[in-house]
Amino acid sequence: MTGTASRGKSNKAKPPAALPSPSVTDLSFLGSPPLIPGEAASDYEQLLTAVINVMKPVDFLEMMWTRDIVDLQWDIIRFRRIKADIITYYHRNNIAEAISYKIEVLERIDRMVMTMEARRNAAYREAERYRVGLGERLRRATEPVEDAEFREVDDAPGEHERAA
Amino acid sequence: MTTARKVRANRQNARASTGPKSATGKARSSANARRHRLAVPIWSDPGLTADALELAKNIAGVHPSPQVMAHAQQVAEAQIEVVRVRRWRLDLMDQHLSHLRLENPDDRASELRRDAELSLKKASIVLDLTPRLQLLDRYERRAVSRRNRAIQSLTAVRVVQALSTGANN
Repeated sequence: MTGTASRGKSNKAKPPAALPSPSVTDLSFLGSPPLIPGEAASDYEQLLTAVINVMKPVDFLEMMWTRDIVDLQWDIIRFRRIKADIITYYHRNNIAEAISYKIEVLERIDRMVMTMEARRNAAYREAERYRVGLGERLRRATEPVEDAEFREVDDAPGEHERAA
Repeated sequence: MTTARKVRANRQNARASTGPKSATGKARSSANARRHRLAVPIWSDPGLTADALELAKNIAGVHPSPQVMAHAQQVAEAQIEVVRVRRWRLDLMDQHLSHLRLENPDDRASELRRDAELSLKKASIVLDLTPRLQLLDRYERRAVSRRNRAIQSLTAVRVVQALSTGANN
């Protein structure tokens, strides 16, 4: 991906400093990937690429939120996998035991996943608010200036002839 | 956007209702910063300071005004704090899981990835660590919300500057 993004038509002004093709290496300023033993770097990179393709971050600030979302999603996947592992293990022996004995553990995992999902969604909202907010406010800030410039040309007949 | 007045009031209320009450509790929590150093300002660490300054430059963009640079530094400082907490959390998990000799899934066929016993051991270790991980989450959440507030301030300054630049033109 190019790192540049197509914005809404109304956003004439874009945040500065477009990023070059982001990758895990480019994100080193945001720390190393949150991999623990037994987790595949290639899986993480796949998730990172997928989220970058959706978010299309254009500056360092958007990249921070993108990374927040990816890392939280990775944590969510990790805990869902842990839950699946617990259920699978006990299912092999005795499903009743899994449900009765491990129910508290499974509920704890569910609560943690819900918290992480809420934080991930909050990161989405922050990124969106920044993107729409900055674009819209910069557009509003520059619009009167553009109009004024346009009127100035209109109010000066003969400008085209002089320019030509 | 939360107003500065509301943020101040929230902080005052939080100070009155959170944290240890007993002398023993206060003594214990005062040692937290020495244990994991997550409460230590990043500007007291030369390595983190260099990272924050570099990040601030990238956030501020080309030829920033001193005001933009100052706000960019606040964003960078909070972001480096976020990174520091995340690194600490990873180290903690790594420390407890490294003895399990889990295979690197990158090197193995997918059908060999799961060893039920090992997966359960890993799951129980991570679950045992969750109270500590949740404590670290608190540091991260604080840093993230400080960063988001700093970004809102930075954005406001950029818009004001864009307006004044437009007016001057």
